[in-house]
Amino acid sequence: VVSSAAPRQSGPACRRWDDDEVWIDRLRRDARAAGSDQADELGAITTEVLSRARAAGALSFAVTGSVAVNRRTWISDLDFYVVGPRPRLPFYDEEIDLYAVTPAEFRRRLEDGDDYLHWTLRFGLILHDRGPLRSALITVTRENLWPDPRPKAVQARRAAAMAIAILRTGDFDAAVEQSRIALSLAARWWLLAAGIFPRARSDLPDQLRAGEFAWLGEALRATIFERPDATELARALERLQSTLDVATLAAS
Amino acid sequence: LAPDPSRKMDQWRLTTPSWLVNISNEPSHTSPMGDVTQAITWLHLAAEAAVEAVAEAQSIDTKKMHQRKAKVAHDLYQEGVFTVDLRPTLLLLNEARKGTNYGGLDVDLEGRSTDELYEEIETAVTEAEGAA
Repeated sequence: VVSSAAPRQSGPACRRWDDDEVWIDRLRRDARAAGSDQADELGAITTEVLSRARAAGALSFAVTGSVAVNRRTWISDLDFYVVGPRPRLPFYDEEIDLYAVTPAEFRRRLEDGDDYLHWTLRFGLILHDRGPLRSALITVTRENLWPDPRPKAVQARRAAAMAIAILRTGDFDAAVEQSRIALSLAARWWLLAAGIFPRARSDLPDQLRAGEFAWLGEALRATIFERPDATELARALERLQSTLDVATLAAS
Repeated sequence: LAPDPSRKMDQWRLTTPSWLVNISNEPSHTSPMGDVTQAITWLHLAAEAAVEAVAEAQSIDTKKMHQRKAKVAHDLYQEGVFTVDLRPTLLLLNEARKGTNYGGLDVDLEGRSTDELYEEIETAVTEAEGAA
């Protein structure tokens, strides 16, 4: 399954990112979307986090996750991608997920086919960039790079084992959250391997609907939008584990 | 399961692997003692369980949200229920948990060791059991 990751689809909109007009247009659209797609309170947090990141010396800053694609749900965090030092942030009522990498780590992750980096280039709202994101976009488009799905399978397998362990403790809420992690990682693995770029977490069930992994999509949907049945959740996790055992064995 | 507020701590005591106490804080996803990702996740669950147990007993609604639990932990510290402010620990563990689970990042505990975190959380669990 994993070795079938060859199919590739076009890079981020196949744009000529070395063209200044194209680039400026992207930045304008992203800034507009960041303003219009967020509630005032979230927009204010984004503005403050951006300001702190720039003051700390960030080279790049992007809004990622569900906010970036206007698919926020009740379980969504506010996600940010920073190239540069991690800024110190005050305590917010909203859960902030700030992913900071050094420029060297950013380059390494680009070479390794890190899917979150690719996601950020494709769907992130770029609000500040002194080179790294634009340069990566040019590289990804020119070389038609595609994320490596294999790390997702390994992460999903580990997360599924953890979810089963938590489920056995009877802490159902925590088990559902851990299951959501495992199922969304597995969904991303499968979609990337099939040549489909995964969108936001809440879009994954629909993206999986047509294929043989529709059951995975339905199990994930239940952890996002409903309260899943414990027995069904346990079954889905066991099925996921078996699938991932085969996939990771094949990959190794 | 009975709605006993100390249930989560009991479960944690029964299920938390003993190797957590000695796990090394190496920047790696595996260690001879087990998996760092698991260790971080169990520690986070235990810390949240301590806060939730007291919150349930005092009819404080945490809305099952991590950020809200961290805020409640801080309030309970200020009220003297906990002798340590769990808020920074909860925020640290939650971030580390997500980073290592989702992003495959090395665990960054900002200079704190898992032993130190374990001791702090165990204290909080004992205090929560007394308070709840």
